[in-house]
Amino acid sequence: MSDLFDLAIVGAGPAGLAALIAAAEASDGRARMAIIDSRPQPGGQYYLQPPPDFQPPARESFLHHRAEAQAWFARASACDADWLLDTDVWGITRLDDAGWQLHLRGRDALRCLSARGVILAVGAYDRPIPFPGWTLPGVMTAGAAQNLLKSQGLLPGRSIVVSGSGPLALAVAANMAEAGARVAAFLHAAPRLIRRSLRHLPALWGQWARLREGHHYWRVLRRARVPIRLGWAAAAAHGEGELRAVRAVRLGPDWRPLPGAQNTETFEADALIVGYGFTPAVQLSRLAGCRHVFDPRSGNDAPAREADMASSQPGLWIAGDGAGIGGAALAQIEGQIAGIAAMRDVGYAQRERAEAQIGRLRGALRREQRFAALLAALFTPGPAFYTLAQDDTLMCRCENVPRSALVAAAQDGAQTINEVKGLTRAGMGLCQGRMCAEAVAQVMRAARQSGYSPPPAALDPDLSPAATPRAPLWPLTLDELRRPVETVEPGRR
Amino acid sequence: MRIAPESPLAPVARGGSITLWVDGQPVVAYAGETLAAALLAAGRRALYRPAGYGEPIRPHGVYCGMGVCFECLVWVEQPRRAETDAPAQDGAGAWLRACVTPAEDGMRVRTRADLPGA
Ligand SMILES: Cc1cc2nc3c(=O)[nH]c(=O)nc-3n(C[C@H](O)[C@H](O)[C@H](O)COP(=O)(O)OP(=O)(O)OC[C@H]3O[C@@H](n4cnc5c(N)ncnc54)[C@H](O)[C@@H]3O)c2cc1C
Ligand code: FES
Repeated sequence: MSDLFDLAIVGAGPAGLAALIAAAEASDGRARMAIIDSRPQPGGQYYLQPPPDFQPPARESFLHHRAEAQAWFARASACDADWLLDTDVWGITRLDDAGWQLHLRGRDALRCLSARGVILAVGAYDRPIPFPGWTLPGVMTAGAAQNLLKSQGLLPGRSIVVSGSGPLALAVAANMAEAGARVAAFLHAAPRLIRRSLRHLPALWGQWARLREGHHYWRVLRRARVPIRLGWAAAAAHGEGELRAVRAVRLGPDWRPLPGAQNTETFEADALIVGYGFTPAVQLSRLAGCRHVFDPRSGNDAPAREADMASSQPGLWIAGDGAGIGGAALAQIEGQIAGIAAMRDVGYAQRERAEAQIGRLRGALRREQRFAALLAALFTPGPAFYTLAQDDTLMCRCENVPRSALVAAAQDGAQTINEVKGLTRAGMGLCQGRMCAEAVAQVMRAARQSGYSPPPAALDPDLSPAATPRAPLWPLTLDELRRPVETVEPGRR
Repeated sequence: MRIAPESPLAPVARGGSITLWVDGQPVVAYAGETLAAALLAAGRRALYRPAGYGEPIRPHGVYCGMGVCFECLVWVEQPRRAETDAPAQDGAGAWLRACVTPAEDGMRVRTRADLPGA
């Protein structure tokens, strides 16, 4: 079939761009490729830039990585590929012979595209953790605050509390101060950080750029005299209709919020930024039928992969944060490996040469994997952190489902996420469970452990934090569905 | 709040100025901004949408900022593209995610604070 692409890459972030460039090189430019991204510009989360109407900041900063981004964009746009930006992939289906069909939604029409191989490089989003008041306007994720600043030059408020765990929380707190906001408090949740870090010192070896960046942020916070609380987190957001104050709480060694007045402090603020790590966007890989495993160390569900980034489905590779959180550098290495492996398997790259190229990337891959494991070990919230949610806290934001309804469903015998979804509507709303899945799974696990719901099963596959995904992954309108679906073919655009 | 030009992180220049109509009031924004940015900069943080199943309507706001959570839905009159089939309350229009929708000159946006129960 001549209307087939050799390779389609979903996601034009660090992983997708690296995959594109590596595949173009490995096939000597012969492969017919397409790269698709929801966003209007390439770059994903890490290389997000201001819109073309803006003139970006003159000075290079850790925020934009502008020079690096421009270099990647230049290399990627020199590759022979069809670019489909501003285009969501809302479904994926296997073709009968070999390959995949991707279902797309562009600005003006639905399209579809078939390819012999697909690389998913779809990234991640902030891990949502419910707490009282988290639906109040003024409470937003670290990713939201960073995007607003990075691409729009905007602060979410005048007086800001940042609560989180991990490098992004630190970066965002410092960015807010650098951009002129008053940071009312920086709450870094991970308990006993220093003691636990010592055990992982070897993984920091070689990560000089990251350590320099972290040191810079720390200095910014000190210079701005930001109150810093280590081992504390935002426990509740208060306000009528909008955020006015944040109640912070000290955490015990297992992340359990501690009771008592001496463990509580209130900060006035008009914005609260929360960031407790990331959740890989596994919706497409699950829809494609890839096997997923729950990794208790990172608290995430992730696709199982071979060393060459192949998923359990033929002709489907997965690279970057969408396969497990690892940062931009790891995403790029994984993207390269996936790009080379895809060209090897569709027959454009000679096998031995491809293997040798992949082999040369192993060392760097392992170093970044070690660092990712360190971040997961230090910063992943413990299950007890989910007890911040109270009976009336909305766990499913879309369908307004409070925690009490989930507990009742578990007590009534619901055993899987799908059953809870059926009973309570949690996960049935517009976000399709992206915001509540992990919190629902935590309620279910707690219910099982406390014995009022059958067998204990921390690793029960049915309790992986996702209900069965359904296409479309984003709501489509009847109007869109009524119009003819255009087929995208190589080089025709 | 748009960051002050003296901050090292501020863009050197924003796009040309445009005017949106938010709940009938003019709001000045800049080309290249998303609806979410324009609304936040204008201090319009509380957004509303119809309650699904009889629950009271609660204020929503930008949460994920990257198109994932749908908490930033606003009603846009006669947009170029609709995002959900939620029934029109009145007139032609659609619910759009403010955080991924570019603001356009003359766009008419409603936060729906007028919904009964909001
Ligand atoms: C919110 C957030 C903030 C971060 N901040 C920092 C930071 O300050 N410093 C740092 O060093 N690292 C940061 N990271 C980590 C770093 O950005 C990521 O590790 C890196 O971007 C991963 O690259 P990626 O290519 O795997 O994914 P991404 O960069 O996330 O790119 C994925 C791309 O896929 C697209 N996509 C996803 N699903 C679809 C679909 N269905 N259809 C079409 N397109 C789709 C997205 O639009 C996106 O452009 C952050 C990560 C996140 C999630
Ligand atoms: S804020 Fe989450 S979709 Fe817009």
